[in-house]
Amino acid sequence: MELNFNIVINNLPLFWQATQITLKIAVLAFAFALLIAFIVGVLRSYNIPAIFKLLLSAYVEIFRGTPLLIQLFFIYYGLPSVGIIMDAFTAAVIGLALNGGAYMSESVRASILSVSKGQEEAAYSLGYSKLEAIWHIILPQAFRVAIPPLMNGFSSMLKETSLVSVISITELTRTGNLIYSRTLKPFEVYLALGLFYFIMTFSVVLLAKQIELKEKRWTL
Amino acid sequence: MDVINNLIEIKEIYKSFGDQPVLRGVSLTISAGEILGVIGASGSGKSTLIRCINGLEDIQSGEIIVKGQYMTNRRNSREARKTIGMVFQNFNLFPHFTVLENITNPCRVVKKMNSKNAEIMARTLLQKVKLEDKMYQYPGTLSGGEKQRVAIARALAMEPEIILFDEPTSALDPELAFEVFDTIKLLAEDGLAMVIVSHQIGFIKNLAHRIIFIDDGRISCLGTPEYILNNNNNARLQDFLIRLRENI
Ligand SMILES: Nc1ncnc2c1ncn2[C@@H]1O[C@H](COP(=O)(O)OP(=O)(O)OP(=O)(O)O)[C@@H](O)[C@H]1O
Ligand SMILES: [Mg+2]
Repeated sequence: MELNFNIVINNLPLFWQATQITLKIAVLAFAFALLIAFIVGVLRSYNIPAIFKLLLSAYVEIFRGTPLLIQLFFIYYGLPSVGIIMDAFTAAVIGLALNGGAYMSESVRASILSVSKGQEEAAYSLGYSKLEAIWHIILPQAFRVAIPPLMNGFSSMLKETSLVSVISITELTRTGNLIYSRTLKPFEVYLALGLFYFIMTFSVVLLAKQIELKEKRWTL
Repeated sequence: MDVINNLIEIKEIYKSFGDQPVLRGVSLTISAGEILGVIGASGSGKSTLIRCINGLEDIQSGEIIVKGQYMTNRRNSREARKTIGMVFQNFNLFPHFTVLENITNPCRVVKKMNSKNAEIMARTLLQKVKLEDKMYQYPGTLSGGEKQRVAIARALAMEPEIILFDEPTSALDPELAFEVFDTIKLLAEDGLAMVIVSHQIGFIKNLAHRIIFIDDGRISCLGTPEYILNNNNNARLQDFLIRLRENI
């Protein structure tokens, strides 16, 4: 059988359109996931009422303990049964954000716990309030520890957007499937798809390196 | 009230970790400008005592009164901490701030100073501890002695009336310990009250007005350095001193 990469080249405009949708979902979902991870991670690192603690850990465990695919199905196809209806794009962003937020909140929490107790005590001894200590002393140090796992989270999210093709969003993977069924050229099409995803995730790796480098200005 | 004349008054405090008693009825007063040395075996409760004084540890019973104010809750402790500075064994500088920022940040956040005044304050204090040439470096690049001098400058920036030192030199090589001792002497000359926990008897005895010997969670002996080191007939203290000298 002969390989024909013209199929890929001819469909580049389509692929590009689909990539933009993938990126849009990934970036939006990541932004929300970061926000969730930050709030949940910080709250779970400190003494909060037991009921909140329970709720938050239930959220984290449930979203980490079930497949993302089921979560997406549930949000898009299941929730309308109880009157919660949204378009596929919104469902995709919400699903990815809740799932990513659960994982990333654990990274945030671990990074906060990695800052030594002495830092907090030094801040208190100088007269910082709890919130001031968290904001000025703990979080900036935790941030550096959190960068690699969070950027990893972004990378995972980029790849996981391919799952939202199942709720009929014409992002990169679904576009690839459509082009394949039209051309019957799986080798070329899926190789190209893989390449596109790789370019995106590798850019994230490079970006992460840049941020880490900037944070290397101080050591312990 | 007589209480006001004392900077810090500690009445019968009890502190335990779980079911392990650590402080078992400690009473003590510290007056303005006084330098108090604290000695005692490892695990006797020295660190716990000074951590209780500035509210880093809760006590089970007893009273701590700072400038006539009872420390009863977190809010009170925070007020009291403005009077009390603390210098830790392992420095606890903020590694993500430069030396200068280690001082300007608390000045801005806690004392609500503007950036300009905070920087003036920081520069003056860094001059005092002879580290103005390191102010743009990060703590990670400093020697232990330099780190501790920055920590002292940082504590001073809050304009405390007393500083608690928990073994300020025991993480340092002897030659670096001396530069920290010299800095502490400067503070003594300024009349700042201090509580100094240290195993460096030679240093304490020249500086302290009084020394307490803590044994098993109690103040077992209290007096002038002369009395503590030479004239007491406390067997546990004499044991402790002999072992200390042997180790040096
Ligand atoms: N956070 C804690 N949890 C449980 N036990 C503790 C805690 N802090 C201290 N202790 C215990 O309390 C006792 C007194 O400790 P403390 O640190 O006050 O002793 P110390 O006199 O400062 O000793 P050192 O000279 O070794 O510093 C020790 O037995 C210690 O194990
Ligand atoms: Mg100690």
